[in-house]
Amino acid sequence: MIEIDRLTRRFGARTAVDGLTLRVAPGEVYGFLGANGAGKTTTMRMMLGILASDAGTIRVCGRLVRRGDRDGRMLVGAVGEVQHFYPEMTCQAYLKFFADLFDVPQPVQRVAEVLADVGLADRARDRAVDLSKGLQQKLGLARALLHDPPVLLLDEPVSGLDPHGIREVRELICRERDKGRLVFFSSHVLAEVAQVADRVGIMNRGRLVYENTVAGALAGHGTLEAAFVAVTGGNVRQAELVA
Amino acid sequence: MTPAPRHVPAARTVAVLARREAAAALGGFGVYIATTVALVAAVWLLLVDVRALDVAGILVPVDPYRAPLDVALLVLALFFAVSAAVSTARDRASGTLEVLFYGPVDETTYLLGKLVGLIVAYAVTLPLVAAGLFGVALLSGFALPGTLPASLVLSLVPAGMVVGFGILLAIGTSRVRSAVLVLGVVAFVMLGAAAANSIVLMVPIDHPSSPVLALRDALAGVNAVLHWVSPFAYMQRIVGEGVAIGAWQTAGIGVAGALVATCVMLALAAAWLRWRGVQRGGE
Amino acid sequence: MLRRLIAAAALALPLPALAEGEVVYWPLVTDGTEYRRIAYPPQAGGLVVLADTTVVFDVRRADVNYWPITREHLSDVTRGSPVVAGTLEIVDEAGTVTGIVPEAYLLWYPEGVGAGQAEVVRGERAAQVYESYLAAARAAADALRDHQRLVAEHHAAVEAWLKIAATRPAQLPPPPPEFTIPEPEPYNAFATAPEAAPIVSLRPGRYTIRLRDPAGGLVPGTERHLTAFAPLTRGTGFVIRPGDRWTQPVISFSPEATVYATGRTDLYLQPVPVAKYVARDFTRLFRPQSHDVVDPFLTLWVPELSGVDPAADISLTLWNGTEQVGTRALAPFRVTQTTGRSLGYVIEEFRPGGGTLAPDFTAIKLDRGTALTRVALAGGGQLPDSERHIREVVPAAGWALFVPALLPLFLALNVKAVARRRRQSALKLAGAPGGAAPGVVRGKQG
Ligand SMILES: Nc1ncnc2c1ncn2[C@@H]1O[C@H](COP(=O)(O)OP(=O)(O)O)[C@@H](O)[C@H]1O
Ligand SMILES: [Mg+2]
Repeated sequence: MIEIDRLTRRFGARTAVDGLTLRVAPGEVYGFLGANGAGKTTTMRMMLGILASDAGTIRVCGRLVRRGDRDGRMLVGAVGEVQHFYPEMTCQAYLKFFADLFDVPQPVQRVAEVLADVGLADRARDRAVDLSKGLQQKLGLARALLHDPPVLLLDEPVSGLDPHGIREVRELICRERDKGRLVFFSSHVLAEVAQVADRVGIMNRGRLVYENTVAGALAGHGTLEAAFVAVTGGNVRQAELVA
Repeated sequence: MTPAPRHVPAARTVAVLARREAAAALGGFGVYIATTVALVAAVWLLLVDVRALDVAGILVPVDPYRAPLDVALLVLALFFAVSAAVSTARDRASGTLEVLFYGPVDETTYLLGKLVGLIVAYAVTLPLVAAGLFGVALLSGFALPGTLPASLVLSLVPAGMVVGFGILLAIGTSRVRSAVLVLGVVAFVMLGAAAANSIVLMVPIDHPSSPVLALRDALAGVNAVLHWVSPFAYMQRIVGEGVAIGAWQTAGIGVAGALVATCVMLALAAAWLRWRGVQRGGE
Repeated sequence: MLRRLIAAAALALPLPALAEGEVVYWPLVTDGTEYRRIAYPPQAGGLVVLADTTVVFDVRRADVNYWPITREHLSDVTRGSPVVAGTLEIVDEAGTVTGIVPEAYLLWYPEGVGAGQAEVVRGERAAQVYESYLAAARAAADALRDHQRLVAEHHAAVEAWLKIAATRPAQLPPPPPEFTIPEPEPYNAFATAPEAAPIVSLRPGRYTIRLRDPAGGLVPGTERHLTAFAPLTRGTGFVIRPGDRWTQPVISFSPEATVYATGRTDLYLQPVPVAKYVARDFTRLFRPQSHDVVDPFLTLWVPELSGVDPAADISLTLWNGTEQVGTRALAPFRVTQTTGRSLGYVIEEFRPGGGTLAPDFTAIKLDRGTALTRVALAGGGQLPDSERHIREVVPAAGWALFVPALLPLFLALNVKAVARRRRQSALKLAGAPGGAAPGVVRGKQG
């Protein structure tokens, strides 16, 4: 469960996140939408407790997120926008390192499990930096799953992937949702969202300007693009505006 | 409400980070090249005594390995300072630093992991240094001093300070190249001030208004500060001016000073990292 | 460090004004071999003296100036500077106060200034020594003058005779007799003029000193700290002369230092009593404001003047491993120049009564070719800590020493090669049909 209340973060004169209030229920897939620079990554960094907020609170599974709260991070599996690996490490060694870091029981077995889960079992001994972008994204997902967290935070998980890769990631999200995980992902590619999210929120200049179930949004606007243009273009129906 | 999250002890986090750090350092060639360079420099200095004995037929050196060991450890210290700076800067520049913080890692555990990992890597070079020197001793006939094991073991403390120093200097940089540059400049100033001091002391001064006098006193002031700040000065003090000549109190004070300095540098680095944030290239 | 910083900062300022009429302690102190007067202006800090030696506490008034080149406060104290009179009070660490009233003294150099050891002669003996010194010096001067007069008279007689001889007279008088009176022995001994000052010999420790004037009041500006230090330990050092270059000896004062020899020449060992001091104390004995030694834990071996009596019954015991291989006695040696030999000289044992002069040096000879690992002196137990380890080495060629230095690199190359081979075979295994199934962690890794 994620509860965000009046979250605000400024960078100098610019307000990257402005009074964001948001709820996501367990087992829900939440699509966090917005154009580049809308404040999605900033929000997710604050949810991870690696960026301080200027105001407001975030709770993940009821636990208040604070900077430097090492235990709180155990509740979340996160994948960043871009994947970064140690050049000397194979996929297997990379995952083993993080399994040890999360103090996962039976790490070697668990590494094999998550590698199989994301379909990278046959690449276990390849160096992570040599993988294609799509496979690196999958390896990042595998890392996020290692410690079996109740919440998955995925920042732009499908951006830059080919259609095949996008489908695989989408399937993976559904599968993890079916296991009972809460999946919170951001995207600026709207078409991908409709097929996997239960609910969407649209960010514009740091503000959550629209929130609805996917079904509701499609019913009201026809397509997500239409909803997006409507809410960011200033032509928003009052009822759909988030307080 | 879900139950409280699993707790990973900080010591475990540090150990896991340290293991990767040490493996990365020892997996490359750099550390072996540095050890070789250190030993070559040591032999080069030992040759001074070897030649003197050859010429005079007799020699009573207090400890023929004092200067060689000093210079060998200085070379290693420089290498590990650069290593620490490069690996810290690379963590940020490559984005792996942020990924660590998705897990149960905070500023303190991250920095301690790096410190411990590089100290372990340094410790691995010590048997190599000892073995190399042992071979040199067999061939040259100059017996290794009984204090060698103590010198090497105690050098772990200033080595830790050297690593902390490299980390601290690299925290503020976003690129590997600038980290190396900053470290190079600072190390050059530190070692250069000590060298310039001893050179200026040899220049005869014949008049109180001589500009050399002002330079000498300025350098003396700088060195008085570096005495307590420069990790290279600690390395020198603990081994060369301490253990190697049996001045155990000097070594002890050096060890205590280096430990305090390391803690201060780590605390500064942690505060700085907290303030800067862990994101790639972030300011 | 702070003091150093302040000193450095003070140096940036222009020369400080002359301080006039400061109390300057001007003690006569010894390092065990010679006496020197050391000026301690107030800025010089505490006094440093060698324990259990006679110290004369002369106190004067003099002007003080700062000399930035040596970073020292210099005073222009001389024998003419006004004396600060009074009783010297010495307060030890327990707070016990000892008063020392001034007494007469002089410095007596029986073998002359710069030769042998000087002695502080105190009390009534000072006047006696000075009187006999003056009498002896005067007598020596008189004798010299008399001799010079006789020489002059002889010269005059010879001149006169030569003048007569030049005229080629028919009858030449007999020449003056040959001059055979020897020149009187030179008188080298010297005594300083008697003066009065408090004199005391102190046990090792820290003290506070001050002067109390005859009226009973403390003389302002006379309170100082004083450290009396003693040797940390005493031992026996050696001056070692290689047979093929006997004028270029090496010293072995510290018992911990191994003696390395190539074994191509005889060695002559001259035992010397040595003492180990805290280096900073010893340096400050004669240079109280010295900045040379900062580390208070450094130690230093120095020779002591009371040399080994050449007649002493001392012998060196030689060991090879744990086996005692002989003893060698102290013997006198004489160096004679040779002609036609490439070496240019030979060292021979000195035999008295051969009509030659004194021996050139006294030493214990170690013949080349004797396999030795250790030597130690024996002789009435008066020479402690005389053991030395000796290593005869045949050093390898310079380049050979670099071979072990390359060890880490060889090791790294090997480890890398092995790792690469293992990785390649693992890849082959993975690629081969019927290889381990995907997803199964292979090998020992993990
Ligand atoms: N570390 C930072 N320093 C300054 N500005 C930042 C920083 N991170 C993000 N921003 C700014 O905050 C705004 C939101 O950025 P971000 O959260 O990355 O957007 P999104 O992920 O939605 O594309 C942007 O205008 C960005 O320039
Ligand atoms: Mg973003």
